[in-house]
Amino acid sequence: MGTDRFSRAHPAVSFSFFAAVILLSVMLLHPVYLALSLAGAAAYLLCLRGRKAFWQLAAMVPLFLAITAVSPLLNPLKDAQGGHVLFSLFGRYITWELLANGAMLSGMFIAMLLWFFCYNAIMTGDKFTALFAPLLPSLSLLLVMVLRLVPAYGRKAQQITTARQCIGLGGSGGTKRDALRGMSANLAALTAWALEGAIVTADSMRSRGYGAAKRTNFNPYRFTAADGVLLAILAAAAAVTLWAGTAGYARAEFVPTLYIAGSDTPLGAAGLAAWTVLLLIPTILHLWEDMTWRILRSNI
Amino acid sequence: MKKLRSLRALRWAIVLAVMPLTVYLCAVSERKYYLSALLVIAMTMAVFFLSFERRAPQARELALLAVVCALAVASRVVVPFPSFKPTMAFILLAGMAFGAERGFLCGAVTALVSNFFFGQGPWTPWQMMGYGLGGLAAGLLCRAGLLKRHVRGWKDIAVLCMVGFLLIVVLVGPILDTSTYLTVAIKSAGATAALPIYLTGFLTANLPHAAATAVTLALLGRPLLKMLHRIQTKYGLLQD
Repeated sequence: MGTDRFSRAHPAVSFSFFAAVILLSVMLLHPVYLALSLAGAAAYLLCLRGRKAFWQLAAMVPLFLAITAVSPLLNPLKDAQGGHVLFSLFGRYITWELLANGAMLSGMFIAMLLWFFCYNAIMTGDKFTALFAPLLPSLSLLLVMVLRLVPAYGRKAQQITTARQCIGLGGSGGTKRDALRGMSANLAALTAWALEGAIVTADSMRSRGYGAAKRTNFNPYRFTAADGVLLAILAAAAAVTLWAGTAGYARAEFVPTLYIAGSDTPLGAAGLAAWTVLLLIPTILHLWEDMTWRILRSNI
Repeated sequence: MKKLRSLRALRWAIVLAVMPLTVYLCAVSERKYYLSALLVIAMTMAVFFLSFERRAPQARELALLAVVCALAVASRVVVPFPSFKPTMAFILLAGMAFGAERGFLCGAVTALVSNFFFGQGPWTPWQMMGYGLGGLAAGLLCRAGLLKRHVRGWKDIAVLCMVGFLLIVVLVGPILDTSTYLTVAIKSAGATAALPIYLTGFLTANLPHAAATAVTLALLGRPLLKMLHRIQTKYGLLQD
């Protein structure tokens, strides 16, 4: 991920971006806004993961269809009220409008998933803890310790399994019951070892002065002027989008009848433009750097 | 001192920003239920997290909690069956041994960290809340005397398994199903959407999860609780 410009931004910028985009995607239930969000997420995922992203995106299609199909069945209408009836089921009605509503909810869920795929690639554990360390120091220390211990315990569990195999226990070819017994022996041994380790860790923390003074934390991320500019653009775009959204330009209703707000006034257009800018920030940064690099290389 | 000031600032931020935002979202947005539920989760977790910060935990408490959370996450990797999740068993035992508030903390941190390994998603806050409340409930049931702090005979083990099973089916699972419900259902639907969603959630996710928790508690509940108590009495830790 080292070649992506946005992933090298300050964690506060990345976190604010994802928080704003995901929350706004959930709030603005409008087909155009939703389509833009989906396109933005897909574009950035392609930038980040290249060909691997194709499979992730392809896997979303059946999921989209499944939720779209199931959602109207979960919300049948008591009376169709001027909608276009598709069919009726046990005296309830399924309308085209309901199906469109299902497609919207399904699209929203998938937009959320795609943005979280990008989030998982960008906001690694160290960034997350570095961001929250000034605000919640004890909790983020706890988080750092857990994040470090989990892989260590995985390795230790492997050693325990090997040691048990050496004395003829828990080898391959046992029954399910043996596997279960092996699991509990393994977990018990791991726990006993880990708990004593906790005391050793704590005592060595104390002897190195934990709690004696304010703790400084390792934070390799500096908030640069470029981060400030990026955060300002991000905040402005999010604010304009939210403004247009609350003014009713991102409103769409499907049930009982179809209503989709237009964007033909200045504020409506501004909202749409701001939303587009917000969504494309990471993709544009990625492509910009890619292009600069290509131009520089072709000049050599 | 500086830490206390930033904590106070955070508290004011919650009162001045998050609460009005909740009311505002309830009035304006189309997805009011989903968003206000998220904000309620955020506020609940903030209460527990801030009280943890205020206590300025000692090194031993911090290390012990970290170890229990890491064990809960790692247990999923250790287990030979892929869909078998013993995680909640560790959280319940932590709630019983260390008290309700630390149980909540263990649950929330475990859910968050486990998602660093298995992928964060829209489910993360709900999972943190569900696991946290599971740990909290185990601690409260222990304080109320329903769960024995010292598991002795097979009767105590049976009670422990039953309570673990019920907590998943009644409390932890439905919280996760609620996120599905609020995503898919529309306002007018009500019970017609709720019943199939909670039923599917119960059959496909909660029942296997509850069974895995009960089996883990049956096999490991007694030895693990004994180990936790031993550490507590040996070093005089977290006994409240």
